[in-house]
Amino acid sequence: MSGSLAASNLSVRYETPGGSVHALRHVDIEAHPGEVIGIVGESGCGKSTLVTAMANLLPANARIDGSISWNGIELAKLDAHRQRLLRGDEIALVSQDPMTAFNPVLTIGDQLVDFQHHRKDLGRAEKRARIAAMLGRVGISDAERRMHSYPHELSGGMRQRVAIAAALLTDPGLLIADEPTTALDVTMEAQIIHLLRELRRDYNGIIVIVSHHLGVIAELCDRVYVMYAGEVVESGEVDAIFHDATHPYTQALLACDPARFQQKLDRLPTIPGMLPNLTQPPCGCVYAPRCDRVLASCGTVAPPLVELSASHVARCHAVSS
Amino acid sequence: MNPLLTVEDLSVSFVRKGLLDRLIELEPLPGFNIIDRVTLSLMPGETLGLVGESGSGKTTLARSILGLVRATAGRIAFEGKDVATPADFRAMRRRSAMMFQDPIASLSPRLRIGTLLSEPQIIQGVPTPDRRAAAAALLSLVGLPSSFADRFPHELSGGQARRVGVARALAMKPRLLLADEPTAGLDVSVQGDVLNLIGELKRQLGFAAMIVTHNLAMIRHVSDRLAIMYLGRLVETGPTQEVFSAPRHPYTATLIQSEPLPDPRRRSHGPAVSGEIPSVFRRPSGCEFHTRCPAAQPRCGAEAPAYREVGAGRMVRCHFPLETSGQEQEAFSRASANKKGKTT
Repeated sequence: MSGSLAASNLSVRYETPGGSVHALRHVDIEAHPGEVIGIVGESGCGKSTLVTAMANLLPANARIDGSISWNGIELAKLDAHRQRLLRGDEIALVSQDPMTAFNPVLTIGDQLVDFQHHRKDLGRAEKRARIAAMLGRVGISDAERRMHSYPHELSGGMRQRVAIAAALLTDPGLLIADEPTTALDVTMEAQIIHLLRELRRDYNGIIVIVSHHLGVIAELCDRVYVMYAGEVVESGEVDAIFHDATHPYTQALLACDPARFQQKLDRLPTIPGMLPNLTQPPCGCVYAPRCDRVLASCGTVAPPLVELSASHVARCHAVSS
Repeated sequence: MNPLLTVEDLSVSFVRKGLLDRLIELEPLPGFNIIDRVTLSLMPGETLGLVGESGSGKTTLARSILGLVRATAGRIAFEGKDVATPADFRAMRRRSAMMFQDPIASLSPRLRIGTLLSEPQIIQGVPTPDRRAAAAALLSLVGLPSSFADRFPHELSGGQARRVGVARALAMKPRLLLADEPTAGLDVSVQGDVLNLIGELKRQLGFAAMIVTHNLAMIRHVSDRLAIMYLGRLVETGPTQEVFSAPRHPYTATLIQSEPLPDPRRRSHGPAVSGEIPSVFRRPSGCEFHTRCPAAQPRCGAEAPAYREVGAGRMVRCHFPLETSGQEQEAFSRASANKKGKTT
């Protein structure tokens, strides 16, 4: 199945005893079949809330405004049963640590059979054959033997491969990978990046990569959304974001990454200041207190969405189209 | 100048016993070397980066240097004196400090930060007339307001907890700081903050540091020398800049190549190495890296290479170390591309 993902003016707030936390504010996102989009930001930027909203797994105290739709279907308005059908069938999630995503007391093979529960047309043997083929495709050589393994018997890299296989078994139109390489060593990370890149060649759906690691985003994505304190502050083609970043936060974030510098630095660059408190988000720009290009209007007026090119937008007073 | 710390042929081995083995004890079981004959030294004021993937034994090595894990063989000398007995280690720990990997978990959740900062003096029996003032001085050293003394660990952010970790480590004015993954789990903008703080305090107080990490992009900027570990053995050591610009061991080269660059114009052309790290319980014969090495020869599987000097301050454990010229580097990337084609 393929379809498009769109969020427009999406806001999510969590009602807590300490007040409502405005975790996402007026987020616009769009993705089409065959695209890999990246969502990058530091902790607290709202990327996990966005992903949970996409998979329709927000907790009960979340209040959604605006729209998030998959293939024209408004996700927040579906009843629980239809939501579940959609998640098993069209939307799949690969989480950061697949150890917690698998049941520790069932074998990999049994769990992957269960993942295909919506395929009523297939028998158990056919499902197992599909699993063996899919495990082979994600680079697990002795698939038959691995199907009899328990999750703890696999290494971290192997578990992540199985998690990707599990997601692909459902033929999803939307594959969300939440920090897919964060728990892995660097040589394993390179292998998983390579695997995801190979898979997209014959996969027509949308892949969403969520990461705080700029290297992973640069390696994998076509388009990138940069998030800060619950807002998308800049979005555009991957090359425009990494080589022509306009928003002061994107620029600062890129400048902080020590991987950009070949020569030894005496001091590593940082972003001074702290994230704003999201129970009372500032009425002006969220980044203004830490910004080095701050103007008089930044503290009081919410910045406009400035279109820099057809696909490149930034939410900032200091940039002009 | 004499080295501050010397480690010679240090080994840590565990005997893996099942319940039956323990009950019967028929014959002594073979030990598995988690750390295998590691030799290194650290000069006063120097920063050494100890780099390796998970399971390479880098944390165990750091802990065994401070006597937190008992070494089964080898010799440790600190400030020119041998450290062997528990009393020696206790004396050494007074002059050295460890920053543990998870900063919040390493702080007792029931104690306030001020109490946690006085613990080193209490444990080491150092008379401190005004503990509150001492804690406040430590907090200001790491750039935190003195009001933090009344907080509990769960009230701290990740970056603040690291700062408290630094303050606790420096409470006894150590000559040596061992930092285990000091920036794991931190955002990139906060990571720089913590490392700049350690660097500044190092200049100010003149201690030597050993930073255990898997983060190559970070260690490149904060260390003077690098030691690369694989399966409990050092495979390469040398000055940081040289190791990065011209790695001699194929494993070091693959580590550097595996790091994803934040530049979509320089995307990698596939993983530099295939396969997974073997287990120390099934250590490959010969060179332990030969099962994954893109440049492996028949000799590598049969004969273990010696750890030998290949230049000023450069040591490498490889039969066929990479040459420093660009030509050989190119041959290596070609070989790794071929090998990858075969395995996938």
